[in-house]
Amino acid sequence: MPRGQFHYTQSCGGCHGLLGVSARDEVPVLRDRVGAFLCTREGRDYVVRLPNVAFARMDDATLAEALNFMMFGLGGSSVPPPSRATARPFTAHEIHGLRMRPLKASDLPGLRGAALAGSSADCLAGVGG
Amino acid sequence: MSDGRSDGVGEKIVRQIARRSSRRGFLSRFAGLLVAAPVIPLLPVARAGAATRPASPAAKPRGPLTDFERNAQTSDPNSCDYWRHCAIDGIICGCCGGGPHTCPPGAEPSPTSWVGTCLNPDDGRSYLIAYRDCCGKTGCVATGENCFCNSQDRELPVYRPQTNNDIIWCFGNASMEYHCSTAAVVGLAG
Repeated sequence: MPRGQFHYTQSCGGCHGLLGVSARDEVPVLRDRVGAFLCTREGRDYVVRLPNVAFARMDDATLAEALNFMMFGLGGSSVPPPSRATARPFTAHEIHGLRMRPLKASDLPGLRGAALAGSSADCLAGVGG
Repeated sequence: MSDGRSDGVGEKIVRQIARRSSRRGFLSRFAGLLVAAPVIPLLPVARAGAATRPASPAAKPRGPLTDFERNAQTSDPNSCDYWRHCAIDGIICGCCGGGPHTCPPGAEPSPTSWVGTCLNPDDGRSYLIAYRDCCGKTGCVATGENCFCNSQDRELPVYRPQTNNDIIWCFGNASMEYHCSTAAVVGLAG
């Protein structure tokens, strides 16, 4: 099992599902959806600043590997084409800066909408799936 | 001191120096070393070094074994010390009419699980284990003596709830009523 998948499975997959789908009403579905956060810069930032991501028991490089598995391994049809500037893999350096600023608001759906607001509809196709 | 006596002493000293520094003496000691060489790695110090070396270059260094890992067994899956149960908190479904991967009749597997990493002492490798609770039925009354477990490898206090296994992992089910826990291998760690 690749390292990113291992750390995702161990630290995230119990709730989100080993393949990114579990209890739909309680836990956000990742499969074929989570890649939409790569549509905007704000979306990338939002994902890393989510409290359960920012405070995860992983160092920056490990967290980058887990997030990249989540995005590119589970995101499926929701991942924007590589030509899109914001659709690049996360780096430890990027993670380090973002997780220093974890989200403190509780209105996560509102923040999520704002983070994706600047994107085009075709890039966000996966969000509603 | 006569000249003859001093000559004798001088000769003795020179001969000793010659013996210690001659090519023949060096060769004789070097040959002795060659003969002894195969024995040197068998000395206890060398064996101790070999014992602490990783089994293969790919093996990752890891910390000391946990209490659970030191006592784990691989033959009885319906016992708390079975190797897969290093982070289980609850009643083993195998003691309740289910199995390591299956719920007993009338209970429903939760879509969510608690994931642990357990060492299999048979092959020395660590595996990801999903502890999936079976829900929707009153708590199992197990008949076995060693069926109610509370193993804590990798667990953190309940103020870090995502990493605490005291929680009933039945969310996502129609009922939050806990019955028992399964322990499925979901992958090789690393």
